[in-house]
Amino acid sequence: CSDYLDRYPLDSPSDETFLRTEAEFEAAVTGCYNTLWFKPIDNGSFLLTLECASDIGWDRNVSDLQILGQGAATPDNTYTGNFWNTLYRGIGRVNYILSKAEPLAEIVPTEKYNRLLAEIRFLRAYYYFYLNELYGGVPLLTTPVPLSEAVLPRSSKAELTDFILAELDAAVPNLPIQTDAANRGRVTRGAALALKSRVALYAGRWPEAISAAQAVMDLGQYHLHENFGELFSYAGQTSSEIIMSIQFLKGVMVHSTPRHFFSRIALGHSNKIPVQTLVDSYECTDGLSIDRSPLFDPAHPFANRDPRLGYTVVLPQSVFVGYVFETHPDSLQTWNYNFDPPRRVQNEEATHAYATFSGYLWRKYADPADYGDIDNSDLNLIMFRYAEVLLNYAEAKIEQGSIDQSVYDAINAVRQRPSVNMPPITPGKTQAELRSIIRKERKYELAGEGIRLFDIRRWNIAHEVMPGDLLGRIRNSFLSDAPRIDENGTPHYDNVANAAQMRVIERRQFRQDRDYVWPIRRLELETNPAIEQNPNY
Amino acid sequence: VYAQKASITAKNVPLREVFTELRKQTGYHFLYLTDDLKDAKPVSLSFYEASLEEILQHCFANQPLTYNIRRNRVLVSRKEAPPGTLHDLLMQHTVTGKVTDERGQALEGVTVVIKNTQQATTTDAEGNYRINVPAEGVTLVFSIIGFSTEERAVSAGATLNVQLRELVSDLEEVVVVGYGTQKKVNLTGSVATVSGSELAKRPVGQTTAALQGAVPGLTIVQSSGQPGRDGGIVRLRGIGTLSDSNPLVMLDGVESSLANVDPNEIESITVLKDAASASIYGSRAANGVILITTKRGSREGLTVNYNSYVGWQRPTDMPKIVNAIDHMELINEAYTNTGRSPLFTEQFIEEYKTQGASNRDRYPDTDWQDVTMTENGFMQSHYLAMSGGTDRMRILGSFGYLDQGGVVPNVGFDRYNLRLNTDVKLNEKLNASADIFLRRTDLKEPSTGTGYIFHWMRRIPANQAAILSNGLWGEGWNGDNPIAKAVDGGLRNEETLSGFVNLNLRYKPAEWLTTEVMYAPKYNEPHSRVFANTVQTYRWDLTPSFATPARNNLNQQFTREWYNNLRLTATFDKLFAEAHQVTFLAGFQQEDQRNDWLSAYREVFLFPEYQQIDAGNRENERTGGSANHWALRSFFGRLNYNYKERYLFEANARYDGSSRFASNNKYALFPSVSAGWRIGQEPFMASLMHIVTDAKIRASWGTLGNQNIGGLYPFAAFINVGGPNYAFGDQISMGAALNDMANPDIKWETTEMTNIGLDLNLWSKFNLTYDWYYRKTTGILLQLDIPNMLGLTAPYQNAGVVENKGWDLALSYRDQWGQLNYGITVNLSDVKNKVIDMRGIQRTARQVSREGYPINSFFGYIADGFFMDEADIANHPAQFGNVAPGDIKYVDVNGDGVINTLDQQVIGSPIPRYTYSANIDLGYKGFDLSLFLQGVGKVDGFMFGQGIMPFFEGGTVQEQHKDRWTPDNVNAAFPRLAFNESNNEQNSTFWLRSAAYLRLKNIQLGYTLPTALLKGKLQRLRIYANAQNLFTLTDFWQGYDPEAPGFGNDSASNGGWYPQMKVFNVGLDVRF
Repeated sequence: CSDYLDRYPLDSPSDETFLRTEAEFEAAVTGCYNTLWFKPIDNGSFLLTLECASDIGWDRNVSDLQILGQGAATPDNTYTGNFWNTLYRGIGRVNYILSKAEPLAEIVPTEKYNRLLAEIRFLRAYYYFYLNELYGGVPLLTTPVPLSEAVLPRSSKAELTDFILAELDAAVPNLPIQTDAANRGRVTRGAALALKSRVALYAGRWPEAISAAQAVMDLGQYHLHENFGELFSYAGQTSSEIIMSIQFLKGVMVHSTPRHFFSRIALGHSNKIPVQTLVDSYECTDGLSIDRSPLFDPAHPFANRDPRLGYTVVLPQSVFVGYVFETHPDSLQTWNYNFDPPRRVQNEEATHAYATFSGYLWRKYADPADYGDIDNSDLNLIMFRYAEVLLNYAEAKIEQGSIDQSVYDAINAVRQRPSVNMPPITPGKTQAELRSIIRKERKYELAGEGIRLFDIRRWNIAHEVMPGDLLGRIRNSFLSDAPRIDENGTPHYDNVANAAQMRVIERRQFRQDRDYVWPIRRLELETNPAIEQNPNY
Repeated sequence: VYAQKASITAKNVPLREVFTELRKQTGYHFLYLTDDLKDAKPVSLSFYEASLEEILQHCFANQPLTYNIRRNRVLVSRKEAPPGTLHDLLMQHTVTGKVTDERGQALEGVTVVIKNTQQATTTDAEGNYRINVPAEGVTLVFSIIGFSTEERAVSAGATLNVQLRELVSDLEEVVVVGYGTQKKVNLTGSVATVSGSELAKRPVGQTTAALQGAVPGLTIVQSSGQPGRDGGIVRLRGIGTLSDSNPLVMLDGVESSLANVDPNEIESITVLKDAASASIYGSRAANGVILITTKRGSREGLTVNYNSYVGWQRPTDMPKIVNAIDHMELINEAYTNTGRSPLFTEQFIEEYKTQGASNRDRYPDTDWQDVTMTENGFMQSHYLAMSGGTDRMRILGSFGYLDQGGVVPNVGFDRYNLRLNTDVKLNEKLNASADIFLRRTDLKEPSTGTGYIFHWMRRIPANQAAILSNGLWGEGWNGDNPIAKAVDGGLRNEETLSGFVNLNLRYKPAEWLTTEVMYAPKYNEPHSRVFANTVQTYRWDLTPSFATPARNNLNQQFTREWYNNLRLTATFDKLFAEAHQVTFLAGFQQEDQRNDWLSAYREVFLFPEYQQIDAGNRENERTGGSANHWALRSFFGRLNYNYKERYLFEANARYDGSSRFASNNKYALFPSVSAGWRIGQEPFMASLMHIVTDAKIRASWGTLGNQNIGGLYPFAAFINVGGPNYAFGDQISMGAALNDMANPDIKWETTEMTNIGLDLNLWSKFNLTYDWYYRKTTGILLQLDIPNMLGLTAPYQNAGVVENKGWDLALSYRDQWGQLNYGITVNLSDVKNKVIDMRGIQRTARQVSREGYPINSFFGYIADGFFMDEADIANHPAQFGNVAPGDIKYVDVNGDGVINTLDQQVIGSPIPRYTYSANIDLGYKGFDLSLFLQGVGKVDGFMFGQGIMPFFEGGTVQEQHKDRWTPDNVNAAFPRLAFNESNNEQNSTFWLRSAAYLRLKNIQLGYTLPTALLKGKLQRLRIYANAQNLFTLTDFWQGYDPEAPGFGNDSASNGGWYPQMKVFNVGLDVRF
């Protein structure tokens, strides 16, 4: 009779009976990947929105991400809080499986069992990597922790790094070198090694960074994609340069990157944008920065520049999603190449109140195929690609002081892929020169991919590049002179006559004694008194 | 029921007490003048099952009094009139006349007394009287129980005919209570009733609208005027929980919802306000109980009723938005203020001014509200009921139809109600009833929802085009064009078919025992279909602009809800020793519900006129579906005891089991006790009987439960399957994960309530009911924050405590002045809500529930005027972004030299206090006029976003924003115009306003044709004109209805909602 009141869910198993079959095991592992779809704001991926918290990007929406970029984040910031919550959710899923996985070894083929566990241990390491870099040492949970025991202090950043590297070492042998097309997006050995090279590089553990990067190279699986622009489009999704990417799929999970990146006339909102300082940092095609290159003409500032500028940023007078992009207020009309022959149409970029505030847009990941469907992009977003591994390798070697030809080869391979074809770095550079070169190279190559924030932090230049006026282009003119470009590729406008005419997008602050790490959620501190807040928050 | 026999034993008791006892046993009313009884001798008597006549003869033997039995009344009078003075006798004149009721029927036994004397007479069977009056200028008083008392000045020799009005609130009134009925005078709990005839005075589609203001303590806020979504939010005596705060609604004993109950069908509504009256409903009664009883067939003959009205609707208020030129000039000011170059050049604005009128495609000047609100909100209601029967069988069949249009295109609501209520007397001991109820509702709105339509019509600047001159849709704002979407954007149709059968068998084996079994299954089948059609918009040069959505699509969902309800009760009712009335009820009930749903989605419909799933492209098709279920099992009982209807006592208990809790916590007991003292029945009050018709003091205490805690299975951890999916190689892969932490110890929320009340009826005309209560809810389910590093959603825990303290007052007075009947009812109540314990949770948000403050309080900064100059800013702690003179200044509450979240505090409460209403009824001959005023004395309303903030996220501004801060206008209503600056957009007291209001909720003028004019079978014909929400006095933000922000955890508004309506109706009420 008491059965009458026993009602359980009709569509899901209970915790007590779960994870007893191979199918359940696979589904649970898939659940750990699900965290990669993390979109902390505006239906945009964490990978790309992170750029707005660095010196080269900006979020126009009045949001906690904008506030973070301004240097005004508090422990209540939802953007930073979402990282904590979501990444730990992914970590929890991994811990849950690991705590219940042992009996599965009996029923799941050993190779598969080991592979699936390696996949999720990679994912946990990847999530911890973000937490560790963003917050600087976080509580390390490796098993499900009951609420009654949930008073845990932060482990140090080094301890986390040790853990991540050890986990990756453990995972690597059980991971496949390749996946078939049906399993594209799964963790491979290359991905684990690429993450390892990144983690070790960020931690200044040069030998490990070098060996991991070297191991990726030795896999022989990865090649630089010839067409740099194509790499970040639907056409480049299966490129052998991509080591691992977040898989989106229409009807299942999509993102609104086209809404953020597209111009107004291309029916986007232009609200996550690159800024003037990124544009000015790119070299001219002779390999010299614009303040030194004879090729730079202030009247034609976008001519003769590193092609990656045009592949990364939508420049004035370039065609973007079928329209000639131009924000000059006198350009009341523009060309629409979506018609044949092209038509003159009114130019929203010149008149729209919310056309891009900087005068530039991101071109990376803005695929015209998403035109007209701005909230429904399933363009995969790259987590690791071969060029980054090469640059990781080079930087670690440079910093370790073991500068040899392989360093030049790695950098030049990236610089000289066919569509970029910048002049090679010539041998004989000092460590300091190479340091400058590699830092600039990372900026040119990886801008817009969610890596910049970590670079400016670990190079200890964030307090130099973040504060002050965030600049957009002069609305109806160009800069009268080339700004001074420093060793990190950062422009300085003190010598530019009409610098004051540049559009001030916002005024940013940066406290060196605080803003190198994010604040920990206020509620996390209240619920776990063993945690200490980062200084000065 | 008038018994002929009575049993009475007494020694030396005053005659009056004998009368009282006889009245109780026989139901006969005793009519006498108190003065007459002064000379009566006490009597001793002993009768068993004797006839009334016999007993009376004994009592009146040797008394200076005599009696007369007329119908159900015993008229007591002196054997002879006392002698007056000689002068009086000489000057006497005679007055004669007839006393009738409102329908002209003769009233027998009416006491006619000369005011301030002891001279009296009574009317005879024809209602006639004759009385000698000493002189002109005296006043005659006509009175009889159950009718109004009338006074008339007399002129000698004249004929004085008097009409007495039947009093509605008879002492014999019976009200519906939980699982039974009770005499109103014997109630010990706090119970309020609203009759169907009162509801009928307000011709509205939704019962909640008709109930607004009708019951003190019942707060109803109507936050939307959208047809079909205009049901009010109902809260009884404050808010007791953070979970579901809706009162339990029982429609003829079956759990139901107030939404879409046709007011025409209602016979009466009972509101059980305190724990004592509600605890018989145990687990779901924590938010109070509303019992709705529908009309049933009448005993005799056949009557047909037809009620109908037609009406039109307009918004109560709309913001006034600036025109194109103003918009451009003001946004330029905002740009300049924030260091930007002006957005529009002087030259362009000049062009606009000169060429605009002749080229609106290029230079639009759109009044978005005007262009979108194209409809008149026509509505009509028809209700046809046939009722009739014989001694053995009674039937009421009714059909109701409501058709309510919107003020924007493609908004509407249709409702069809069909009811068949049947009562059958199978034999003397066995009765049965079978009710069938069917309802269909069809709601129609644009696929975007009306929120979208109103959001954008208040947001898009006037310099954006809505409709181009060739009829193509203009671009609106990035393709968001509210009129285009309303007309061409496809529809959301919600069609719900619901019904229930209520089968009831009542067996009465003995006079003192009634047993009853009820089975009432309920069926509900909501079906929604949303077809989002692609709307192509065009730029002024006719090139295509946005087309949204990118792919037209259809999303269809079928749901089936099946609810079983079985109930058994037995009622024992007996009078012991002529004084001890004992009623005992025992019952058992079990309920279960299962919901199943299935949904399908496809996109790209090449032929948008064919809106069926199969007509869409299979690529990206999606399906969904699942089911859930719950069950409740309950045992309940009630004991009523009264001694001579003077001392009243009641106890209730319910033992409830719910499937929502783990096995160790499934059951809980909810007891209550209450007592009443009818002080008016005490002998020592006898001398005041002509003033104090009835007086009662009540007190009650009890506990109630709440099982509506959000989830159906919060007690155990379940794996989410199919939520955490991922895609490998462009194929979806099914994922599974544990997302939520479970709490097996979870149990009921418990509400404890104490109530003290007073009921007073004076002169049979004036009623007062006052209740004071204290209501405390403990174990409120809170999702207490846990460290998110655990990776799971926090479990619910029984942790919160909330109290509500308040009082309800109802006053009514009804009388007649000449031919003018009038009545006035005033309701007033207050509730103070306070969160006692939140386990220290300190969330920051626009609305928070914090210890010491009301639930869902508004939270933000304290605005302290505007910055006057740069020095002012420099001397003030840093605020948000680039602050300039004219920006809102915030108080540095904690004095740490910076304005941040730590400076936010509770700034207001959305819970209405001092809710009041006043109803005035006037009747003169066939005319009737009623005025219903309703209001809230104290409540805060918060507006944000584009609803009130200038240029919010690029929107436009309203006329009122022109009164903005400039160096020349430092005492402005609004801050300086700014663009993309967050300082002024923080949640602060600046955007908080009092949403207190007084409104003329309803005014109605009706005329009933005199019976003499009605021919043939027509029994009644009344026509009326009615207006609702005709005017509102409030200090709330201009352009918005004070009820707009709503009431609850989302009671701040950004202006994107369907506004409240003014309604103008004319109606007809016919009875055959």
